[in-house]
Amino acid sequence: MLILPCPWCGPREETEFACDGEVSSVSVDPATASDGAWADALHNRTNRKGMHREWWCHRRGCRQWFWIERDTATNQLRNSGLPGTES
Amino acid sequence: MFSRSLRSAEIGVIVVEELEPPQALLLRSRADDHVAMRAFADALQAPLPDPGKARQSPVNLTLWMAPDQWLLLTPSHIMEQASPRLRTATLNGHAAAVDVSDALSYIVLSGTGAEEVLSAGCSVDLASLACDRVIRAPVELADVTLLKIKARHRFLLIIERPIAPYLWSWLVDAALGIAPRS
Amino acid sequence: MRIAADQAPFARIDRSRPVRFVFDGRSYEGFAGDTLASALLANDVRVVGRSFKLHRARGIMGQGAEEANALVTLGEGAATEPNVRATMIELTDGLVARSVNTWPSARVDLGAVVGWFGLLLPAGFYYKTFMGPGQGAWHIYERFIRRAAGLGHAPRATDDRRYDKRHAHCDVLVVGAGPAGLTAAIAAADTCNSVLVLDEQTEAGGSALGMPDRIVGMVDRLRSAPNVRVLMRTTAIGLYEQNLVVAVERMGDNTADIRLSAQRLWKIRAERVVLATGAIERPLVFDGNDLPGVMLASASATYAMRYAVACGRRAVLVTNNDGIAKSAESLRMAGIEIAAIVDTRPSSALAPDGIEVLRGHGVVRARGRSSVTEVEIAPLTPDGKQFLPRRRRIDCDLIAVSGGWNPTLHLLGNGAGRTRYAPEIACFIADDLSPTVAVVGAAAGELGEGYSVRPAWRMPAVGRGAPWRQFIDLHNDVTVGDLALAARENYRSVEHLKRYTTMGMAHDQGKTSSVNALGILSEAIDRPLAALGTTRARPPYTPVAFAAVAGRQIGALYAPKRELPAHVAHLGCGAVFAESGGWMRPMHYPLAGESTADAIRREVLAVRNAVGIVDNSALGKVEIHGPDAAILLDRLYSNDWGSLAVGRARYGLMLTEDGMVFDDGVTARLSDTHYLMTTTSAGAGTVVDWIELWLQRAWRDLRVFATPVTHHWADLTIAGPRARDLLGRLSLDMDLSPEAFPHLAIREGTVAGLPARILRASFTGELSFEVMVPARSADQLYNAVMEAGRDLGITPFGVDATLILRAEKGHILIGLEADGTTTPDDLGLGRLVSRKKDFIGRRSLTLADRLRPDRPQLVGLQSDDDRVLPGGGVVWSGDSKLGHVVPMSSCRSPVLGRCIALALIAGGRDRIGSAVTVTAIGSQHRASVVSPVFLDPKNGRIYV
Repeated sequence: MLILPCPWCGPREETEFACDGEVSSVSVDPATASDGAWADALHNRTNRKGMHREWWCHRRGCRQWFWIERDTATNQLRNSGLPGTES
Repeated sequence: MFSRSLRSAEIGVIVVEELEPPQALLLRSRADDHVAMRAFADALQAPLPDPGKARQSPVNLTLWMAPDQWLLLTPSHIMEQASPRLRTATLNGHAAAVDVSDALSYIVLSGTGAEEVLSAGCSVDLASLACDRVIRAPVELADVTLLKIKARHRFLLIIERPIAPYLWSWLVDAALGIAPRS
Repeated sequence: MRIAADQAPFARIDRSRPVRFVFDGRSYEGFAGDTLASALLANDVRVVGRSFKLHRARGIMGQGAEEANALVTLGEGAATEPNVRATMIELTDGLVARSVNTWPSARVDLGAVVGWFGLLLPAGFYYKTFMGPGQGAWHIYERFIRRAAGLGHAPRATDDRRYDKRHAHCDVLVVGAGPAGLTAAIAAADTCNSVLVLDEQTEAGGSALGMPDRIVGMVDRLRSAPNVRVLMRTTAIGLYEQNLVVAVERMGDNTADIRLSAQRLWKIRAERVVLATGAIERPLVFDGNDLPGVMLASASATYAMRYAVACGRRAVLVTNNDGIAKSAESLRMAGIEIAAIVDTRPSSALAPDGIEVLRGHGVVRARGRSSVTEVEIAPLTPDGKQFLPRRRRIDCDLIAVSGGWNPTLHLLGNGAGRTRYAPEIACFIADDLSPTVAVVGAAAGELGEGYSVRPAWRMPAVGRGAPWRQFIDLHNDVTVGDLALAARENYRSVEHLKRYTTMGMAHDQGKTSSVNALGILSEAIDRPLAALGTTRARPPYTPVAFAAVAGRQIGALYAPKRELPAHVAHLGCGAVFAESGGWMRPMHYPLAGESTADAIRREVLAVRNAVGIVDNSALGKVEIHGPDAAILLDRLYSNDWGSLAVGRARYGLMLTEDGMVFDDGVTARLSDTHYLMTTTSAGAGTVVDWIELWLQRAWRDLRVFATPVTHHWADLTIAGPRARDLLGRLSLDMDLSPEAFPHLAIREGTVAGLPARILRASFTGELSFEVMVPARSADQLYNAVMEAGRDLGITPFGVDATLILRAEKGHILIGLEADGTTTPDDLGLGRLVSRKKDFIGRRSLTLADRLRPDRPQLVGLQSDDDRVLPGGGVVWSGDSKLGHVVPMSSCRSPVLGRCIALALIAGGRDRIGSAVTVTAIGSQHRASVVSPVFLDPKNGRIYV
């Protein structure tokens, strides 16, 4: 079980958080995207083996969102930041 | 500031006490909205506390809840004086003061071993918690706003009102579990 | 047999405190400080159980967690604990234990018959048998297999003992309070703020217990240090990432004081973890090595020195390493005759005084009926693969074996490090450790000065039956024969080998068998051990009771049950409650002698003809403040908000990004920049989370706040043709006329003397006012309403009546027809999808899949007869499956006098007027498809 660094509350147990998966860097304009491109943007993720960025929310604490770099193979945690700085 | 207690239980040296709820307002403002932040500070005659902090004055207790959220607790008669100033603070529409008085309940846990009681359900290291530090964390199945009060071994737990009966039972039960062992 | 005090001067038993206990129905005596195992050995109880598969007689072979044979059922009644190792049970007065897998007892076990068929039951036999005849055959076999296999029985009564939990934090956590652990803890105490030491035994000392005092003063020093905490009887069962150690503390299972915990689960976060977990001796593999009387040499020495128990009178020691010298010395001090030491190595430094050492010899077979009486040995060829002639039999009743030592590194299996094979000490040691984890002492491969070992993974087999009596895994009866069979059938990776043979899958998790199996496999398939690797050790290190994991989260503390603000009033009105979504909700309010169906019927008719009151306080309420409030609503809901006037309200649909309806509710405008949003009760939490997600991550520039106020306001809804009359009696400062207070509007005022917000919205299909007052005043309001409405026929109604009322009106319920797979159009609410603005879900609504003509659409069904249609039933047109009846929407309508239901069927709206069949298990119905709005389609009753 991980310890995650909430930017406001400090390091807390993983069970206090909810994860919303990979920060998706691809953004598609719904007005012009084809059905396939739209579904892809909505549902598909790179799912990298290795370091990637993902969203977490401190659900049982301050309820704030942040992103963090996590290695999906080793669970090593690196940088983290507030929304707006994820890309 | 919290004068009356609604009920209390003693388990050995541990005391679990439910307090009469004060008036509670949730103050909303972006921390970088200097106009609104100053208006709140004027209304309360003190700036809103920094992240993770609480400020106690003779007439109220203010707790940081989130980057854009503070909980202001006041005995009811005093709230009536501050309220017009608060309303002014929120008039420009960029801030808000939301009445949550009946949404919350207040339990005080005190006595030698209070930290150990909480450690039965809270994974935050409370021993190293400074006074006037606010933490929001789960205590077993309850989401709690926890404040270490100025005396040793004394904690204020703020929870949503419908969860208070559960938290009360849990605290009493956990206190039973810290009987001294041979 | 108990040894006299002068021959075991450092023993840890207290001879002044005798203890009585019962094993397999017979009474015995031991001393305080004994384990159940040591006390049984002291009483010469040699057969303590029967092996899992073959029911072979087994005796105690170890002294700690590595014990593979001596499983017992401890205790009786509700406090029964099955499958506990006798070596880990602290002997207490009045203890009762029973062998497992035996009937009637360990000594005389009828299951031994199975052992005669041993050759028919090799590894994996169940993959090749019990097939047919016919499909049902397995169920017949299974009943017998289930009774024959398996070990102890779980108790049926509820265990009332207290199991609890602790979270702890420390700078350094030391696992193991033997010499290495104590040394590490003392060093840490000098430099750190907080040190925690765990040990699974009852007293500190580890391998030094019973020996001349190597640890003098260390324990006292630790106990007097204010920054050190020592937990005995505490087993670290897992080491997880970022140094989370989970441990189970046994607080004295037989305690009568309910306040004290039976077991305590510790969750410890440590900056640094030191594993001082010692090493476990390996047995040797030879024909008959499972006989009672064959024991680990160090265990027999521990019994002698620490417990003053001689495990035999005349011992033969068998070894491949120098470490046995220490065990030999201990046995000799205890007065046990050592007939010989059999050393498989052709030459070694082993030369203890006065003991014959037979170098280059091995064990042909251990013999005895129910326990060892002699051992047959012979010289080995230099490569150890064959015996030479000149066999010899030695009388003995104890064979103490040592095949080497395995550092105890199971806690690393979860990622804190790896292991690698160290050929110079013939065992696996830690490798690639996490920077915050250290391993010290025997666990680090420090197996004694001058320790020297030469692997001898198995003795040669003499005779065809021998490989099937050379046991590798004692618990699961896995032999060399099984391993060879597995290798022949091409299960050659260690993980396959383990699972095919079940080696290492028992309680002991291979603590004494894994490495031997690997060694034998490596020779069988000619691959070096280092290349084979080990199977992955996973938590828990030793079995953990489910009760310890559950802790106090049982019974009343299992899940918080929230009560509605007017709970006391509901009780007073005779409500029948059910738990739904974490709330205790009134389902109906039966009058004296009334059946459930009659009560519900009465409530529905009261709402349609008079006036009812329902507690809707669980619905979510969110205050929306800010200049961009309308923009937020526009983005969240599928319908338009910009045109909503102050004081008015609107019903909105919230869609997922997929275009599916996931929440709905009425939102009212209180001022230019202030709205009150309502959600479903399940949505009270999720919608706020949803809003925060979008505001924090995607719409950071929006000037708006969403503040949940669900628990501040109670919502008592007054519904029915007489609702206005009733409300008028309680709120004298408000104009409730339809002109001043139209449908879908919000007003603030006073009701029954309480500050209130009244929202005029209708879920039931009748004139309806949702009266919101501060929650702590809910009872007061409820009673005032009941009082004022007495002559108007005021009737409390609950969830059951609401389900019928809404079904009659075809009003959707999130979670039923809006189950996450239906769009607004599917639900007949296409008019609530804006064409003007962007909102969450907009693009998905134009996906081809959302425009299919055969999408499920919400319709009504009217049963042809007087039977209620089955909720969830399948709807057919001829042989074509059209869809299903929405669960919890089917009822006998009191107003319409017929059985109705809602359904989702393909292209439903075009099928209105047609006939369908509805089926469920055991029933078939005929119905017609109608509009889902059964009652008052023009909503005249709502707009009155």
